[in-house]
Parts: sequence; structure tokens; C-alpha cells
Amino acid sequence: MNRELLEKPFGPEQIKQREGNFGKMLDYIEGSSVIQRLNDSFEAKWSFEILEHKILDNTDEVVVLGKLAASDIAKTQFGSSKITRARESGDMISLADDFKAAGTDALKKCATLFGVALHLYKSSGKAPSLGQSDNKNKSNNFKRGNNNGGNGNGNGGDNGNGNNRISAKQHKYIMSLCLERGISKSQLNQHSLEAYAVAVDYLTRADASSLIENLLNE
Amino acid sequence: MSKFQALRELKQELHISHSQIFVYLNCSLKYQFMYVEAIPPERLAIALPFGSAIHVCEEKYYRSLMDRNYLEPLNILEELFADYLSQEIDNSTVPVIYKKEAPNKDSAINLGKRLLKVFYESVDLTGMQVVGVELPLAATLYTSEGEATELKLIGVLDLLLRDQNGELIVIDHKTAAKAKSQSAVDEDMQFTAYSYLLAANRRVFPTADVNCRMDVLRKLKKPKMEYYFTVRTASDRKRFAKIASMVLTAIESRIFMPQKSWMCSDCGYTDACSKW
Repeated sequence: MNRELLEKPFGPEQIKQREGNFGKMLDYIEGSSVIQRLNDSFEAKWSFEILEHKILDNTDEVVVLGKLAASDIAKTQFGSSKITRARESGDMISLADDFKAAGTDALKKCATLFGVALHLYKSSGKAPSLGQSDNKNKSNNFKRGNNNGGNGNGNGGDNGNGNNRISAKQHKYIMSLCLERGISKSQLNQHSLEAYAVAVDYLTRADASSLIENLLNE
Repeated sequence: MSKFQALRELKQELHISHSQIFVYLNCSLKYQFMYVEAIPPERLAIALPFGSAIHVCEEKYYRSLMDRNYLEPLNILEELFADYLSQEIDNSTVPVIYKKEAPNKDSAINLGKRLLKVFYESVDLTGMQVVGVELPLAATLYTSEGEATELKLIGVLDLLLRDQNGELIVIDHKTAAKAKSQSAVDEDMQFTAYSYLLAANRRVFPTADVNCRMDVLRKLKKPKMEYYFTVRTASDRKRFAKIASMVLTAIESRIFMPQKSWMCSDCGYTDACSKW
């Protein structure tokens, strides 16, 4: 086991972001990067197996218990994935793919117990998302933001909104929170200007997340 | 629904409008002051409330015609104009900057009434059907490569007519001291934005040309109405999408800098600009 290599921080190009609950941005590492790290660290001498799997009807997700073994050490962790359903009919599209996504999630969680991507926890002080990204959330694979945001390719980023400006989802959520709380757009803008020095439409994703938290705590 | 109500609703979503694109392209620093930092303007150029007051009257005229087949009397429009403009001027918390063609409130009201008379006498809807007045439209903004952005393009069309051949004509009302050049009308991005909105909302076929007309009330001693015709093609819309995407990228990248031009004389952010 090469522990130094296992715990070596991933480069910025390997750290992806996706939107989590309430518009929060979560860092994650793709499954392929984790597998590569395990191969490099254990010279490909590792194994992974699914010990248990379940379909949870009440939360509409699948859960697996995975076991990662290498160098006479084994780590077990759970992984999960929402069941993907057809928008119109609500039928399952591929339960096998959902289990595969949950398996990848479990593998990545197990790898964390070996020290893979631990730096993400340390640097942000929040739980990074290692799971459910490879198979299920391709559309949310936002690149890691920077101060400038623009990617220079002329279309303003992955989703045409650049990779740093408030997302449409965050914007919509903020508007609905304000509506529930009787806050007008001008009051919201005033607050945004005082707190972040820009109108709400021009917040960064991080500031939009912080504003959402403030609104939820009100 | 009035233009302001319609815009308020459209603005609930993350959006960009032609006005925003126009402001950015002409002076990105003004865009920063106006939209990003939402700084209140330091002064109000009379052209703004004046144009809005004329607009409100034109809207009332066409809306009454469309909804009730009723021809508003000229004096009602004149009263509306005077009330609206007076209110805007009186309620302004910043100094109002007048121009030589209307150096004070009374002369501005007089000029407006003369313009309305010309408008009233020149309206000719023979063979035309009024399809929409202050028509609010929104559409997902796509890049020229066909990728959807997260922003909606929003716009409110002044007037939408249908001619005898069933073709739609987008009308945009302007007030101006100087005559427009045909090339300026042909390059006017507002029409392209409207044409994009019409195509995206399936009011016209995706590849269709859109006929447009700019109705310009000239602020002269002897006011007159001038009409400028132009067409927007699918290729214009594609180019517009490319420009809009680049503007979004530049805004996202926080690229804001002053741009000296003839528009600086009417700008509400002269002091902020000097301090920049």
C-alpha cells in the first residue's frame, strides 16, 4: 500500500462540482479517477464486492453495501442512487444502471476510508459528494469555478451560464423562498447588495448558496 | 397587462433582455452600475420619461383598438401623456436634464402633445390586424451552436400586426430628434431579439424571415412620423445568439469598462464613471 499516493490531493481538473440540495455546490471526484488512484496505490491488487443490495420503495432509491479490500485490509460502506424513471410514465428506465451507480458510490465511499480524496473534507469543512455523479448526473458536471468564471469558449460555460454565476435552479429556489416569506424582489436585491455587493441575478453560485441558507434560517 | 407588469413577471426568471445587451455593448461600465450593482442613477435625461410617456399613449391607443375596437380620442391621449410625464418628472429624486428641443417641463409636455397629434393622424391600419400590443415573450437563449443556456431571453414587443398576406410585422415605436439611417435600422439588434422571440415561441417558422418596421416620431419644431422597414432572417437570429452568449460570458467574467460615446451626455452615471 502506498499511503502517500492514496491520500495525495486530486488536481483541480479532477475535482468536479454538482448542485446538491438547496442549490449548494458539492465537490466530487469521478469514479474513474478513484479507480485509477486505487490501481496506482495498490498496483491493481484490490477487489470490490457488493455484500448486500436493496430497493427502498419509500425513498425511491437503491442502496448497496460495498466492500473494498486491499493489502489484507477491508473497508465497507454504503452507496445509494435514486431510481431513474421516465418523465412521462414514471416507469423505471434501468434498475441495473441504478445499482451500478450505487455500486460506484459505495466504492468511492470505501476508497475515502483508505484516504482517497480526504483533502476535500479538510479544505472545505463540508462533506464533499463523491457519489452519484458518474452515471446519473452528467448534466451537472460543472467545472470547478474560478473568480473569472468564463471559459472562453464563447458559450459561457457548460450550461451557457458560465460556471460561476448563480444557476437558474438557485435563482428559482431563491424566488420561491422569497415568495413564501413575503419578500419582494426589490427587498431581496437590497439585501443582496448589502451582503454581497451585487444584485441577486449576479451572485456567484457560492454566494447564492449562502443566501439560500440565510433565507432558510429566517 | 401593461408593459411594466409584463416585464416584472418575465424578470422573475434568470434572464437577459435586448436592453441589457444594448447597454453592455455600448458601455459595459454602465451595465455594471445599472444592473450588477443596481446603483440609482445620478440624473434623469428627459428623453427617458418623455419616450416612456409617448409609449404609454401609443399602447393605450392600440390596446383600445385591439380589445374594444375603440378609437381613443386624441385629447385623452394628450391628457395621459401630460399626467404621466408630470408624474415622472415630479417624482424624480434626481435632477432632470432637459434638451434644447424641450428645455423645461411645460415645453416637454407641449412637444409631446404635438408628437401625439402627428402619431394620431398618421396611424394607418388599412389591411392590418392588431395581433398583440406590448406582447411579453420569453425564450430559452441558445448559443449559435444550439446549446441551451440557463438564461431566458425576454422582451416585450411594442406592437405586432398581421398584414393581408397573413405575414406578421413587428412594430417598434421610437422618438428621436435625428433621422435614422437605413443601415442603423437594418442593424438594430432589438428587432433581431424580437424575431428570435417570435421564432422561439413558434409565432413564425424557425427559418422564416420576420418583417419589421420602426415607427419614429421625430422631435422637430414641426414633428413628423417616419417609417423604416427592415427584415430579420434566421441567420441574423443565429448571429444574435452568438453575440448574446458572448455578452453573457463577458458579464460572467466581470469585464466592465467605460466606453466614451455620444451617449455619455445622457448617461445617469457620469460621476460614478469619473470615480471609476
